[in-house]
Amino acid sequence: MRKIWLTSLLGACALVATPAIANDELAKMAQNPKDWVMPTGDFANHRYSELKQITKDNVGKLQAAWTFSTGVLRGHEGAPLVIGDVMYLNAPFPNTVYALDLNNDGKILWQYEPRQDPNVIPIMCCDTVNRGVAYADGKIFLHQADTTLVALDAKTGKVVWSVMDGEAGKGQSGTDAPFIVKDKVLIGVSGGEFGVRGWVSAYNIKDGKLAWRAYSEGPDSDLKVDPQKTTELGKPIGADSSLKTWKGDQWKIGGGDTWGWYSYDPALNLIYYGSGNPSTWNPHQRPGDNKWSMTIWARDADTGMAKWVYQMTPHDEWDYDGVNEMILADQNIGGTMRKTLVHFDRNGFAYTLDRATGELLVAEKYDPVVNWATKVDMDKNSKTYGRPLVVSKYSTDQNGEDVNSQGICPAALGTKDEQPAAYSPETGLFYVPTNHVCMDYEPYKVSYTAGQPYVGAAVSMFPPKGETNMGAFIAWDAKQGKIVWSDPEQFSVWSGALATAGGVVFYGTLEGYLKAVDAKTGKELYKFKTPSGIIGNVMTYEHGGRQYVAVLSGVGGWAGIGLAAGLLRPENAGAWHKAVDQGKMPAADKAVDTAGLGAVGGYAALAKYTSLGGTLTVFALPK
Amino acid sequence: MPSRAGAPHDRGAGLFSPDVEPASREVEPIGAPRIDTTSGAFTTSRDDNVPQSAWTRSLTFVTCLMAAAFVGRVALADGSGDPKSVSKDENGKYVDAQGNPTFHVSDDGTWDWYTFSGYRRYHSDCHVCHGPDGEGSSYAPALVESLKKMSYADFATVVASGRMNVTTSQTNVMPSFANNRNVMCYLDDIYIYLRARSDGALPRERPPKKEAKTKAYAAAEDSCMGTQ
Repeated sequence: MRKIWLTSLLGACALVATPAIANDELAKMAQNPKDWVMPTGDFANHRYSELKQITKDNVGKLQAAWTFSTGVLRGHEGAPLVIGDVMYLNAPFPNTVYALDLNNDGKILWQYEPRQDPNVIPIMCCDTVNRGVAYADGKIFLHQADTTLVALDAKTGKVVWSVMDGEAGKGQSGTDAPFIVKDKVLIGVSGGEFGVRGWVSAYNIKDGKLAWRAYSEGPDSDLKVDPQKTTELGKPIGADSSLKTWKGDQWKIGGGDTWGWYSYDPALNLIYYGSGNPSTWNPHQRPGDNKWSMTIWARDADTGMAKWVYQMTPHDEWDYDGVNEMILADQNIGGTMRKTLVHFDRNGFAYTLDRATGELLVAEKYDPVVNWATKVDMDKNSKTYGRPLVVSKYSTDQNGEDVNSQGICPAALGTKDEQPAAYSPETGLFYVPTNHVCMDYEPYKVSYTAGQPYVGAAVSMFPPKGETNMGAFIAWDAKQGKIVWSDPEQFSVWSGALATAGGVVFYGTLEGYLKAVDAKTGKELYKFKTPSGIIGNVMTYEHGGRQYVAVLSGVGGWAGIGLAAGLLRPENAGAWHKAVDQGKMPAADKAVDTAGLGAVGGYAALAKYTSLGGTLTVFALPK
Repeated sequence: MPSRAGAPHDRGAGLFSPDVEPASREVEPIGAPRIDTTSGAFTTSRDDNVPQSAWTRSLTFVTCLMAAAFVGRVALADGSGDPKSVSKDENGKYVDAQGNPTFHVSDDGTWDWYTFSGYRRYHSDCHVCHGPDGEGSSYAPALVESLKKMSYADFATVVASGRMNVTTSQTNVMPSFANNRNVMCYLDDIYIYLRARSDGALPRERPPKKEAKTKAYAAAEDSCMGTQ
């Protein structure tokens, strides 16, 4: 691994002024609703703002106030930060960072464009996205595509320090937003489709020195677990808990990557995140539970030692990464206030756990079409306690290699991917952007080459039988495990949500609409079509006495790849083919269009609604 | 059978991703380090642990194709000509009059094994960038369009060598798959599948009926994948 140390004079000055715990500063800053100081809104990942100038009664008058182009036409995930008079945002590869002057119509104060090898582009399965920069201690932190973590002086954009966290030549890449905890900055790694064994790195904010690194798979020392003290569902995990669940050395290329969101509970001093899919996608090739892929992790913020773990999808057979955000909320469960963690998993189950102990409280489907498992076993006396009860028909491992398992819901996209949900303490509800897509999945044997795709399954996706919408925006009661309301959407909702004290919840759509809905009822109150499809996260801030709402447009990511050409249920296309042309060869266009509009019912292609873009749109009420 | 030459460029590629003209690409010989502008982190590393005579043969074969492609690039690439199959080998692979691999569908709708196998392989390693059914995505061009212009040799060259296309707003990069058995051992399968899609012979579907995998194919596959 290569390390670059570039310390500017300004950086050196900043080091002298470093508070012992940057977290104190950031925690205090996060209390000010006028700013948006971290990508997740707050340490608890609420994505909730106390601002209430924009309300459900006046949001209908919202207007675009100003816009800004990032200069890059790629999938734009993430969201800007606002700290005082400055907005910070970044683009997908090449990961340009901008500091914009809010006192001067968004004039560029500084910009930073790292030099990166473009050969990192094709190892970024599913687009060159980046989920935002982080702030602490006068620095802006960027996790580049090539896994470099760089600290920039927030005032000048000069590099304070820079460190290479992984090796892009081995398929390792960076997409997640850095997360600040106390005096450290945390980053994960992407590369589950390249056999990358996942880890989390914690670097010292002041000098970029690696404080600790903890892997998802491997020996106990790599995992940073204590066989006796680290628990799963209340029981010690025991020695070699990961090694015992892999065949031979397969854990070395076993995935479990950590490219999602992180959260932190200061009172418990624990950080939370999820690990991704085991590699390869062919489950038959990697027997065992493949621990600790697909796992919720609770680690000590100072040492990285794991307090508890919970594997949601043992021995994954569907690519249901467990990386989605962990939202920390205190809720009344069955008459008792509990410190809970709420997680909407790719596998279609929404989990509510006690975040102090890892006790499983609720696990329910948050899309009724989820069919790969009947339920999560909640019987503490059962041998399969805490495990999903898999339906044989949809088990791609039981069906075997070279067999096409059909009609599995959700698709590999998950009922939700990384697009984060929001939580309103006011309504007590979670607002969740979801996918409503199913799949056929056929695993087969693959060989591993470092730095090359290591997938091992053919996947085709389509809307649930008899339905036309491929997404929904829902309100979820995590105490009961029930959908409160659901707004269907034509395409997957691939944008992060924002809840506000004004009783309004915001999200974006793949066609490019920013939408505002009533937090209590889901009724649509406002929509505006931005220049491109939205896969970014909505944020809000106040400046000069006005509340603003901002979102990045720029279609792409996995959604752009999977949905651009539209989804088609394969047997329907085939049925049309047989019925109409009786084995003759129709023109490609005719075959697709007729099958799409006739037999299937019009699953329009996203490419007919929007095109590539890279624009920030900022909204406000008229003056 | 529709002709591909001069087919209108009417779908997919133009909407999201600029399609790349073959003449504009960078081509590098197999085994050369991949384009390396800054870090030195991207050199190729052949995995030499597995004995692989068929693997070597596969590489040699592609090298020859690439040589042909270099010669042929003087003229405009216009696909591989008439896809009508004229013969079939012991592996179950059909070829056209020019000797290019091609698809075959019987009157009862039975597809050749290669088209089916290519469908599967495409929907693992290729569709994560190029979208379902070769239809393109926000990230990479529609191969159903690309193959209307690319010859078999062009196709094999790009898969083995990769390509880079830089514009002011985008950097499109396809990696070299020369060291990836999951792709190179199935190069013809993927080509034949995409040729069938590009030609409009195969709709957006999994081939519903297929010829059986032959013993010769299985032996060649095991040899190439190092799983014999």
